[in-house]
Amino acid sequence: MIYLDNAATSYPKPRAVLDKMYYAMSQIGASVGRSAYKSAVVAANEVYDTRERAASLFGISKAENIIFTQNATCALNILIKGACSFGDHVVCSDREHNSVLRPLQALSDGSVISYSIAAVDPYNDEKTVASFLSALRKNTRMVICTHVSNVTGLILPIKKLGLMCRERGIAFAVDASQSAGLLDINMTRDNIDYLCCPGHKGLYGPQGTGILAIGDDAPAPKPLTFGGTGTNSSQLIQPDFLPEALESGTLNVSGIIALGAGIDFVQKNMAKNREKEKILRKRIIRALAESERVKLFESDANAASIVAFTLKDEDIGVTASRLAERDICIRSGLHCAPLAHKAIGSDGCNRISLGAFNTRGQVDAAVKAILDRR
Amino acid sequence: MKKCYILCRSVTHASKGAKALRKSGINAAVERPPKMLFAQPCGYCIVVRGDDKDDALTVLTQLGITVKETAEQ
Repeated sequence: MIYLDNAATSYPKPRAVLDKMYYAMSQIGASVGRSAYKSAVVAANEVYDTRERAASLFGISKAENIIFTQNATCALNILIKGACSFGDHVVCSDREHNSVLRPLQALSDGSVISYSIAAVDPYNDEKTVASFLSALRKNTRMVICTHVSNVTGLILPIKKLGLMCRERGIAFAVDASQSAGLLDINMTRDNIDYLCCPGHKGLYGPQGTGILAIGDDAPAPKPLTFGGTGTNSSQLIQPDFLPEALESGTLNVSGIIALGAGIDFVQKNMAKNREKEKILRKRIIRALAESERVKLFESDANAASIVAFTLKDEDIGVTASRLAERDICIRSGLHCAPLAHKAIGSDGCNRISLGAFNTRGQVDAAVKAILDRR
Repeated sequence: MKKCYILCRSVTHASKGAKALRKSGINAAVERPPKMLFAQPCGYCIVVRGDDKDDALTVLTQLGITVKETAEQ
């Protein structure tokens, strides 16, 4: 199999992640925050260790401000629905995933908030920032921006947007679904108040893990889920301190412990992985660009490890199916980002998304298969 | 030997505190609060030697960990 769908979920996982998962499920087994026998305390300590690793990765000092969720979508929903109030205005980019757009639309449909979409210029960060600036209103509560487009890999200017927000007292939230673990992000340095990411993509953790990271000085969103937290149980009121305020119910303990190993992996290999993926991306683009049949999207922009393309003489679904027959895994369609496709002039495309374990041989074989007319 | 039970807000805060105490050279464990010492059965304590109580509380305060109650046994 040649797996080129790391933007959906990364595969394979580092051996250490698999080992940690097995260790957690076979040797620990207990839940966190429910009991205090030996394995429960070990579980609590290991989960806390992963919080510390995540806090360190994202440049915040409070490990308790790392909230574990089941995925980035869940983290974004907690953030958007918990941090926005009646009458607020939100600005987001035209490259957002539906995990940002749908909660915003739902709140807008319910007349709770209003939101505006800022057009991104893929070749001019200053124009992108200006676009966000012109969308701001007096009641703008938050700016949400994806760090890397899940369709084309375009890297958005989050440092400049963070500064813009900080200067105006507006909360800044980053969807780091495609950048966490791949690009250097420091929430304190980059003026990011909230960061949402999956554990199972660039952090190489298991599916069923995600993170909402809250800046050291940022106010916590209100909880969406209320329930058992293993603390203050005699009270019917949800705890008001982190992380328990936002983590009701049983945590995915083995997943979180394994995620810790994934974070270790990316911390040690970030620069190397980034360089390798840059080289492989360029290789794919160079090879595809030689064919007149190929249309590439934002291939010459500042982008991370994704290549978006179509074949002019073949339906995108047929291309993906043809590759699947050869056990080459890519994704075709709108990638849950309809506005991004509209922005790039696409009604759907194929997406190659690289990971740490892809090789030159694999990408060469994939390109050959793409261009093969048979 | 007397033990000091430091009641924290949650297992996360108890884990955080215990880890920091161990790093500072103070022996610390996480346990449930003994029913005879604390009114609430649900919660988590950091347990240290009685002699280490003051140093432990200093470390926890510096770390910003809220101490709900302490008791010795």
